[in-house]
Amino acid sequence: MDVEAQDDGVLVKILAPEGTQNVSVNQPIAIIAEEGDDIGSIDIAAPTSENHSTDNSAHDQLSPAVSFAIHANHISNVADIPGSGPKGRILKGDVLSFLKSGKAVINKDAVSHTAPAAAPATAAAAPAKKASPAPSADAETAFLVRSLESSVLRHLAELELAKKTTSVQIPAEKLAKLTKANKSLSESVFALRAAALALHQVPLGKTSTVGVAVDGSKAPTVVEIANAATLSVLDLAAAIKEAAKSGKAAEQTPAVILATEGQYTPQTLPAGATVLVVGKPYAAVSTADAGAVLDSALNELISGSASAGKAAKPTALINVSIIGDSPAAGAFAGKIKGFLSNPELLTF
Amino acid sequence: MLRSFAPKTRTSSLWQAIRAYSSAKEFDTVVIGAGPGGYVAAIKAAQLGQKTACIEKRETLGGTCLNVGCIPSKAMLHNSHLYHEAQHGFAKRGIDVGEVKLNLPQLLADKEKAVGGLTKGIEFLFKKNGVEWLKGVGTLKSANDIEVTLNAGGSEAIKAKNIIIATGSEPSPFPGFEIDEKQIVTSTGALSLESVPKKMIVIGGGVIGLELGSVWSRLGSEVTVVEYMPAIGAGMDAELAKAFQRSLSKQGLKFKTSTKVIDSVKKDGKVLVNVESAKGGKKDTLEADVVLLSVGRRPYTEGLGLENAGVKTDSRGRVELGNEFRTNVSNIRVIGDVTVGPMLAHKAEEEGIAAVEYITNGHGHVNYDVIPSVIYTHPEVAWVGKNEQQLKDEGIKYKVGSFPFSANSRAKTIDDAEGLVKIITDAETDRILGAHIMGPNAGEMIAEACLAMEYGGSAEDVARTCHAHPTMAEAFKEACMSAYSKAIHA
Repeated sequence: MDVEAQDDGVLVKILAPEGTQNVSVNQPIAIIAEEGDDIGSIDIAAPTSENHSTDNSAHDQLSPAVSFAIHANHISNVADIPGSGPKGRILKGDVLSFLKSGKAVINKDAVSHTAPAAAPATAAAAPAKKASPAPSADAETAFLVRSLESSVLRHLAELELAKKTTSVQIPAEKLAKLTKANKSLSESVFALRAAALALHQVPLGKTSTVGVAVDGSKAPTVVEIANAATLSVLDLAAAIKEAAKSGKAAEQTPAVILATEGQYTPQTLPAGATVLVVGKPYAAVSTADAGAVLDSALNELISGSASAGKAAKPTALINVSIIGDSPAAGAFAGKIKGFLSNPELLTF
Repeated sequence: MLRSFAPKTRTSSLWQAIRAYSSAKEFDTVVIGAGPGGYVAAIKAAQLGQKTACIEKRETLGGTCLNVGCIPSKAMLHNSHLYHEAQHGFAKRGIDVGEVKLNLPQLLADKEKAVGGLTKGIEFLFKKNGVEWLKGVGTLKSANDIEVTLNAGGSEAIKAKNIIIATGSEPSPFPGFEIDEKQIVTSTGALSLESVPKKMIVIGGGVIGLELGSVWSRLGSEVTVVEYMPAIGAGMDAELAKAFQRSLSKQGLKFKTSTKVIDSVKKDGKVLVNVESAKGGKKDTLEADVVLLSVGRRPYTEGLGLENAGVKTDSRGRVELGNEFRTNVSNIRVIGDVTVGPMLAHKAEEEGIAAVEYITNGHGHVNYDVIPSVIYTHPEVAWVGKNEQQLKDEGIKYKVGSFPFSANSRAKTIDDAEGLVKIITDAETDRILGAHIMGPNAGEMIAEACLAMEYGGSAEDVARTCHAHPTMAEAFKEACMSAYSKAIHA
């Protein structure tokens, strides 16, 4: 069977030749080096055998008695406890004999290294004072810290992106009618056409070209769409498809790049460019209508009957995000909104 | 497509005669015997892609367990328990029923219904997984050839790359007793007695004897259990065996332990059993309407043709077991009651799966240290791992924690509080080495012990695990607390 490699690169070593039977899942089959790597000096690590792959995972599953014993005895070098249970699990007996063996690093005061001289200087405590930098946190705490770190980082990235984003909501009905008519047309195609036209009226930087972001190994590749402002929507749709296939990077970063949600992170946003992300239609009650909906609901409750007329129906909307540092982003967004609210203008 | 319509299990004689002349069918794995060991192995082999056949001569699948063992006995134990409760237990619970009558034919019919449902279920599983059921007696002709003497007539020769012998066991006979399954019965007959015997003697106080003795005692029989050893329960924990015997005695069973059985005589429609004290000396004659012979089971290899393939058996008739469940003939493996080890259905099942995994993956595993045993009387008794005597013999220092059900909220509130949980741990590491339970649902509760032991768990691990309240399971938790520290509720 064919499996496409996730990354581009140069095939350096084949570990499982063609025709090999019974290749297990997760078993390395080949090694790919990145373009530009010095192949001669690559250090190919021996494939780890199944038995070693579990290593620390057994330490992460601490049974209640084991966890209690570790905390009650302030053991800080949990990773050193040999596990004698099934698949290397640490058992209560392992902790007890570890404590007896003197190999346990007891750290009653996890923060301070300057233990008072009056404290009983047991053989176990002495190595803790001499230990370099921070004492290793026990397995459970380490796991919690790692999880917290990654969610904080993720949140920060979202905040940073939000700072550079201008969003507009556009009623979707008219666009929906047009996109339904032809399968190759999507809201994004119309948005790109709108962007190409808008650039004439609201310049964003030096160039007035548009492009499409095509997924790559590290960051998306930007492919330019030539003459986007003069192409019809159908031709533009075809050009976008071509661009995605060719993957040929633009020589100069276009002014506006059409991307999908999540394709860019704050780190990978191209400098000086504006990224256009078009969301799918969703039903929303605009803030202006929300008051009317609430009134009508209250009236129903009070009068006990359904009151007609005042209730506003939720409208289908599309969210268009314009991500970029350009000072003209706001005006640009307004132009996009104008075009997409009357998409029939884009069909000439 | 048409192949699926070709009769596989019901072949007419004419078709059979034609087939006898065609070339032998070849299978990757053939399992001989469709008991819990055999049918599980066959299904597993088929699931792992082996072209599989299972040879079974009984008209229904499931072996002894489903047809004349575990399943029918549990149905009768449950229904006889309800009958007994209705007669003796309902009034004090505030339920007034009139005269409670036994409808024995209906009780037996209910048992048959349970059995029928399950055996048909196995048939369905065979079809679902593509296991071909060859109905007949399988005889080895060589290491790779089997001749199946079909129930429908004629025979069929088949070839097999791998063979798994799972022919199980049968009740052991006893010299001086002629089994007719009417007056002198084995467990098979005891499950289908047509009337409640006024007096019943059970020879052999092991699991089967105690269970079936319980059934008929509840249904109205005067039951006496004769056991050669000083204690009942086939080597179970000594403390529990004593408590168990006391409990069953309170229920009306009579016990004659340390008693040897000599022989029997049929006279005037009754059976007279001659017994003698095991240490020699005092003789006695007991009288009964029905005698249940439950002195153990022996491996069944009749008609198997082991000698044709050169497969060796030991002095007790068990097929010799080597590595990877192989016999001395490398492509023939053996599992279950027909070879060594505890004669338990779940042991056979584990071995069946492991043997098939050895065939397909080159690796299989059974953890013989964690195979539970259960006696389905009331109260139930269950145990897994070592008992105190075994640990003493092995010189291992141990600690004991126990907790009585009389101190367990749930047991007390439903007024079913007889028994205790006993946990034995390693004195140094607190690792659970054995668990022994007598009480309501002991058979279910033992699973917690098995799980803890599989993970190398300590008593403290179980004690620090939250158990719902009010449940019997809390007694297990408290016994573990008692083992490593102190119980709260006792």
